[in-house]
Amino acid sequence: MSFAAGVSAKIRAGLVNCSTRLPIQTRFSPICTRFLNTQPAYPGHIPLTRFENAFLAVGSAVMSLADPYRADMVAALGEATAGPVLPRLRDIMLESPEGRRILKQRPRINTTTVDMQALARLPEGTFGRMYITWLERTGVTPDSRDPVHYIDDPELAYVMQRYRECHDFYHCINNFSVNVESELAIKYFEFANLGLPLAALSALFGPLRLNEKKRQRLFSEYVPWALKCGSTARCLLTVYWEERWEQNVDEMKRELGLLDSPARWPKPKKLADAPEPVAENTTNIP
Amino acid sequence: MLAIHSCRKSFQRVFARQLSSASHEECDVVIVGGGPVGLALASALGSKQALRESLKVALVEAGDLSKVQNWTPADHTYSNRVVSLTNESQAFLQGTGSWNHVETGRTAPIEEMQVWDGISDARIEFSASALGVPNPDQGMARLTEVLNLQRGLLRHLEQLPQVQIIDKTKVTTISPESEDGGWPLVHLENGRVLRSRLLVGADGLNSPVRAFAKIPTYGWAYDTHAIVATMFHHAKNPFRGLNTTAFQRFLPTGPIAFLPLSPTASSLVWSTKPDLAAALKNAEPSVLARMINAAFRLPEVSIRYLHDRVREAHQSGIPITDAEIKSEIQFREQSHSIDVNSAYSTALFDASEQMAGIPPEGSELLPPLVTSIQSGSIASFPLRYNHTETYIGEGQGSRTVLVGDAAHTIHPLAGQGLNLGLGDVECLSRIIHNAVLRGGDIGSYTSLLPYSQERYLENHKIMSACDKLHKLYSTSFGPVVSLRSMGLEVLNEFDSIKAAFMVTAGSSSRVRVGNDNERLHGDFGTIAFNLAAKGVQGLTATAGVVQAIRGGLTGLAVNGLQSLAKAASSVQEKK
Repeated sequence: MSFAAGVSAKIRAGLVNCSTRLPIQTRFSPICTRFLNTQPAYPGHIPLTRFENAFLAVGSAVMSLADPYRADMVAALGEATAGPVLPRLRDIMLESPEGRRILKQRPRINTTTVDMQALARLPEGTFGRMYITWLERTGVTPDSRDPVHYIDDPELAYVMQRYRECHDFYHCINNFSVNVESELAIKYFEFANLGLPLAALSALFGPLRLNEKKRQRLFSEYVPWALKCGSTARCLLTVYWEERWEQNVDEMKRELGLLDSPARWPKPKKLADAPEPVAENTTNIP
Repeated sequence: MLAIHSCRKSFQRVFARQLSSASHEECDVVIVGGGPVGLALASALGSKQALRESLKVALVEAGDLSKVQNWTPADHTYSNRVVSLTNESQAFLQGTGSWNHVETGRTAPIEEMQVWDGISDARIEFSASALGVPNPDQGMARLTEVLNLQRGLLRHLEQLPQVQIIDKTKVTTISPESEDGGWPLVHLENGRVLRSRLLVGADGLNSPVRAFAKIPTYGWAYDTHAIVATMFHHAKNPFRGLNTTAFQRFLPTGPIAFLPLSPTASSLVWSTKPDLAAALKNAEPSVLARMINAAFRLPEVSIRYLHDRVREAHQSGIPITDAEIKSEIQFREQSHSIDVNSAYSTALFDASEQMAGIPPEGSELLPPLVTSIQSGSIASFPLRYNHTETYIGEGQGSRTVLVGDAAHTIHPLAGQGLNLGLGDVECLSRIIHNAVLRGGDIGSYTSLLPYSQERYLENHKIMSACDKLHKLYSTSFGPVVSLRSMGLEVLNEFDSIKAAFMVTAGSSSRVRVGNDNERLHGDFGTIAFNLAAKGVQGLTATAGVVQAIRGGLTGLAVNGLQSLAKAASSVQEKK
C-alpha cells in the first residue's frame, strides 16, 4: 500500500498545482501535446513519462503475479499496458448511438448512482433483478473499483473507468461466479470482445494458478465458449447497462449476440474459490 | 542538320500558305479561352511593342467577358474563387502593366503562414520577414480574387486595341488545313474562321485545343472535392495584429485552408471527401461555419466523429441542424476538457460580441473564429491531377501550344495552379518575343521548343511535390505520422531550407520581364549569399537541437531515477 500512499501524495501535489493554472491550456497547446505534460488533465490524473510508464508496467506486473489480490497493482497494470487499445474502443463507442450516449453522459456505476433498492423490486427475469441477485450471491460490491490515474486523455481515462465498472456485468449476464476459473473465462471473453492487453496477460498467466482438473475444465469448456462468444457478440463497452435494468435477460442476450455460457456455480454457502466436487453431474460437455 | 530540316519544312509551310484559299481571317496568335491565363497571355503579348506592331493576336471566349469587366462587387463582399499570387507572378503582371489595373485594395498580402499536421499537431511556420523576402510587408504572396485579376487584365487589354477579343462566341471545331497539318483553322459559331499561325490552348481542363492537337494527357481524379466560401469574422484585436496570416491544417480527409482577404473577411479552401462536401453544402451555412471552426481546433478523432454525424444526417435525408451540430461540438470539446476560455474553444461563436482584452494563449496559432459565411458563396468542385505529355502539338496538330490548366491541373493545397499558368504565360510570351526579334516563325516547333524545355520540368516538380504531399498527409498510419511530423519539425528549424522552398514556390521573384532578358526583381547573387548566411544560422540551430535532444535524454534518465527513489522512499516510510 506504500506505493499507493506515494501516489496519492503525488495526486495532492498535482491538484494543488492544477488549481493555480488552467490544465486545459497546457494540454491543448499544440507545442505540448506531443511532449511531456506535467499538469493533470483531470482530477486524479498522474502524468507519466514513457520511462515511468514502462517501469510501472513491469513493476505492477511483477506485483500482480506475486499477489493477484493486489487490485491496485492489477489496475495499474491494466492502465500501463492499455496503449493503443483504448482509442480503438473509444472509436467503437463513438460509432454506436448507445456508446455515444455513454460518452456524452459519462455515467458512473456504484451504490450512490444506482438505486439498489429499486433494482431489487424489479420482476424476476429482468437484468436489474439478475444483477442484484448476482451481487448477493457473490458478495461483491460495485464500490470497490479503483479510479483511473495513468491514462493521459480524459476521455480515454473514462473509457478505462467504464470498462472497469462494467466488468461485473459481464460476469452477471454470462452467469459466471467470481472464482478463479470463472474470472479467467471472463478474461478470455474480454480479450476476444474488447482486445485489452490486460485480459490477455491474465488469460496467459492466470491458468498457472489452477490445479490440473480446473485447468482442464477451463480449456475444454470455458475458453472455447469465451473466444467464440466474445468475438461474435457486440462490443459490450457500447452497452448502456443502466438503461437496460428493466429489459428481459434472454431478450438482451439475443440482442447483444451472447451465447449461453457453460458456467457452473460452486455449491451455495461455500467460498468462491472452494473446490467443487459435485459439479461433474451437471456438466453438458459439447 | 535538324535546323536545316525544320527550316525547309517551315519554308514549305509558308509556301503552302500562299497557295491556300484566302477566305479565312489570318491571325498570328489565336488564344482559345478567356480565363486569367488566356487574358494574361493576350495582355503580355499586347504589352510588348515589337509584338504589338508585328503580330495579329485574337482571343476567343465562349462566355460574356463584359460581365467580368463590369464586375462591381458590393463593399466587404468577396468572390469565393481566390488565388494566392506569388511575388514572381505579381512581378510578371507588374512588368506587363496589368497589375496597375487590379484593384489592390481588394487584395491582401500573406506575411505569415501556419501549416500543421491534423493528427500530431507538428507545425511549420513561414514568415516573410524571417525568410528574407525583399519587402516583408508586401508578404510572400498576395491573395487576389480571380475576378479582380481577370477584370484588371481586361481593363489593361482595353488599352491595347491591337489585341482582338472575341467573346460570347463558341469555337465549334478546329481543323487542320491539310493532311500534314498546316495552319490550324478555328471555326467559330458565327461562321468566322480564324487561320492561325500559332494556336494557344488556354481553355482549361477539358481543352478542345488539346483534343485537336491529339496531345495525350495522364492524370487521375482525387477522391476529393474542394469546398470554397467567403468567411466573415471579427477583426483581430489590437494584441494580435492584422489579418495577414494564412492557416492550413492537414486533416486525413484533405487540407483546410484559411486565406485572409481583408481584416474581417477570409477565403476558405477545404479539400475533403465528396460525400462530406455535398452534406456540408446541403446544410445551413452556420453548420459549415461551426464545422470550419471545429476543423481548425479539435483533435482529429473528434473531427472524424463530427464528419460522421454530418454524413449520417445527410444520408437520412434531413441535413443536420445548427442546434444539433452545436451540441455535438460541445460534447467533443467537453470530452477533450477544452476550457471555454481557451483559444481552442468555439464557444464564442454564440457570443453576441467579440471578447475584448488579451487573447488566450496560443490564439496566434489559430485562425480567427468564423462568425458567418457570405450568402451564396459556398461552392465545391472536384480535384484532379493532370499533366499532358507535351505542351506543343505535332503533325496534324502542329502550331498548337498549351498553357495553364489545359496543360496541367494540380491539387490546390499549395495554391500554385494559377501561378504555374502565369509562369507558362511569362515564358511563352518571352519565347514568342525572341522568335519575332530573330525573324523566326512563331508557330514552328523549333521556336516553341524552348517553352516546353523551360516549363515542363518546372511544372512537373511542383505538381508532383503537391501530389506527394497530398498522399503523405492522407494517411493516419501511426509510424508514417510520426516520421512526417518529425520531418516537419526539423524542417521548421531550418530557415535556409524554408527559404529555398519559398523561392521554388515563387515568393522571391526572379522573373525576367521586359524587352531583354533583364532581371527586374531579385538577384541570384543576393539570394545565394542570403541562403549561405541562413545555412550557417541553420547549422547553429542544429547544434541547438542536438543539445536539446541530449538534454531531453538526460532529463529522462534523471526522471526515472527520481521515480525509483520516490518509490523506494515511500516504501521506507510505510515500513
